[in-house]
Amino acid sequence: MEIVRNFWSSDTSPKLLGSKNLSSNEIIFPPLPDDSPIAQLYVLEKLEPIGVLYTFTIIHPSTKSGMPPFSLGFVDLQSSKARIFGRLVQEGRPNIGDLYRIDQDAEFGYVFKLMDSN
Amino acid sequence: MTRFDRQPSTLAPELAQKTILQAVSDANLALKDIEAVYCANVFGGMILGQLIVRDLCLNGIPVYNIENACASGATAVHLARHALFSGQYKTVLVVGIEQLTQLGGGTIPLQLNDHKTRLYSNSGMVLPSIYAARATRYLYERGEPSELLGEVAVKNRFNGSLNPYAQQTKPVTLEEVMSSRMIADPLTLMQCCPSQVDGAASLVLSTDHQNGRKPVSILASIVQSGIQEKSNDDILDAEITARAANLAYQEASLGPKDINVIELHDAFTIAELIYYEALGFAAHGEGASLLRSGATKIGGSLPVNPSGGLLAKGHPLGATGVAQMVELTWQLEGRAEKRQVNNPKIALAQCTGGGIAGVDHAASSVHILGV
Repeated sequence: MEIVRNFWSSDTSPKLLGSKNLSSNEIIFPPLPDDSPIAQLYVLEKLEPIGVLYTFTIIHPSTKSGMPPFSLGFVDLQSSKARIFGRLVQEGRPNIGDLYRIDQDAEFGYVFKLMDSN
Repeated sequence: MTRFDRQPSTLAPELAQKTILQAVSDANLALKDIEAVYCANVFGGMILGQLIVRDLCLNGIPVYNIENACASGATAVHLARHALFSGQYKTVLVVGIEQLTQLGGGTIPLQLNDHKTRLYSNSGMVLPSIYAARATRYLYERGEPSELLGEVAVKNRFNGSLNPYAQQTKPVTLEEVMSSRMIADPLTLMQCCPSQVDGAASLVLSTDHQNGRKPVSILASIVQSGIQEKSNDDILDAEITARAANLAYQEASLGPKDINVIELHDAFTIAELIYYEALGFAAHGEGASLLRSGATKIGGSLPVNPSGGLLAKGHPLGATGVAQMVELTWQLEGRAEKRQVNNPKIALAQCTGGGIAGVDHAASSVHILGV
């Protein structure tokens, strides 16, 4: 399935991109396409990669699929007015309130990885 | 209405026509009295309404096909009522139909014609995951055990055992609910409405009442659409439902205390708990207490989903909103048989339509009916 691919900045350490509403400062993700008719209402914004887990679930695919369970969650980014949904990567069960870092991912474009508490 | 069940060999005309003929007969009318048809459906393809009525020989009256995801049926009633108010018609038919067995199984598809929904879907977003994330947050904030969610399924599956139109007619224990297969933690299989189900339901709306029974009136009819989510939204607010309900209460000049029986959109157990508060039947944080009090059982002071709700009936999308109002009409008329609640006068039907990312739900509809 074709997905939006241009949501990482071209920096040496790429950051996730969003579109910031010029009136409310709310971030929408993924960013609007360049040719969006409402592009003038927004500006491209680099998002700080650390966020707090707001909530989550663990999907249990049917046994016929052969896929293992996987975690999904909503992460509230620090320093940006953005709540983003995505895959969670950690050992064991997620916990609301844990810190996650956005990382690039070849399959999903991005994932949230649990930050080491140390 | 038909029994909601797997009927993969039944095509749309046969499924829907049964309910149309029942509704017209029940209204003490003939097909020739129908001036327009409003057909609610999501996945059945183009001009399904015309296909359904083609062989009923309705002489080319207008047929409107309506889609608003799970709120399609209620939206069709809303639009039909508008037409009656305007005087355009005196008598119209609303039919809702869905045949989910034709989709081949799995969760209801999302609307992927959008960057955000497509990206989130690629990460694994499905409708159960959204409700499950709400449930996780609910249990966390309220300090509640997951068994609370299971109690909703126990209640509604018991009600379904009294309903000959429900797909699931066997009562279940809490242990059975909690030990059923995990789908999206904390929601187990029996906490999710069945998705392999087909069904149809029909209503006749008229300003020229002729069925010999006391009229059931639509006192309020509201449809609302989702507002772009903000970063600090409380996902337990059920914002679109609360908004639609408040508008419905204003239109009817009534409040939550005036409602005697409710059919709400319990696609997943957590939904019923959240909607208790969004519809004003429990104060913020008090939904669990309302459930535990027994008030929302059939014999309680505020019966919720006496039909068994979506958890027991199943959720054929286009049919659900119409079926809710068929059930409530029967309740108000005293015709609900074994699941009849005690002498209701005012009823509320609520449903929500989802399927895109970035909003609480895409559509919500609340109707208040009364005798």
